[in-house]
Amino acid sequence: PVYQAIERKLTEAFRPLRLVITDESHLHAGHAGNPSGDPDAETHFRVELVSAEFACKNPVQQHRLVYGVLREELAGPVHALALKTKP
Amino acid sequence: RMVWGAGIVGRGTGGVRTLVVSTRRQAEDAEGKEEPPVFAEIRAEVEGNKCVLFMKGTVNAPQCGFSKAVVDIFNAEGVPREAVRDVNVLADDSLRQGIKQYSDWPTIPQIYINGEFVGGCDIVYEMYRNGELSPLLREAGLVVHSAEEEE
Repeated sequence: PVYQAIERKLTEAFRPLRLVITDESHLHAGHAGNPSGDPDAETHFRVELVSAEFACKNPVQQHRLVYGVLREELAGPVHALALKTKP
Repeated sequence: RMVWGAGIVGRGTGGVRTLVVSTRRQAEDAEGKEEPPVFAEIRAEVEGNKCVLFMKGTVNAPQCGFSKAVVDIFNAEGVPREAVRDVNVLADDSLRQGIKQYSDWPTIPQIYINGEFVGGCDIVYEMYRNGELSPLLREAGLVVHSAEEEE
């Protein structure tokens, strides 16, 4: 469900040319962000996003845009979000 | 309004913690809203140190892969360990939440150079990869090029 929410929100907000979302929670099993190591944990994600919305924005601004869209997830289940953004 | 405040700041090498007790006048912004007391601590860190790394763990013992990646990058760039002021957010929860508000950035690690927010792990890694990081570090005086050969 978290994966789907991320996919939906990013698609709507950025109309991406490229969007790759990877659930990396299993890589952090046992760490503070994913203590149970539950395969359904959905705590750590990696996102690659190419979008015209990023034009003329520096990397910090681009990442801030993405963080803003995913504010709810970041305040909730998502413990870490690795980003790779390009205009 | 004078406030007695106490803060615990995690230190890097040696794992020594410093208990800081100070009187603080709570800062108010233009609307008269008080900013969180921890902001003053954070501001003191980023303005008092050339390079500050808000991280999980310490530069000698990182406790998270993303924080460790930044430490590794700084090592690869030749930044001396002593030049990096590490702040362990795991040691102080008000700092951990405070730095996210202060920077308006939801994740750790966070890198500040000369009082300016540079980015998190992904941004620093990308800068390292495309060659932007070296000149930034050099201009900040964080790396010194020596004519002597390394042992």
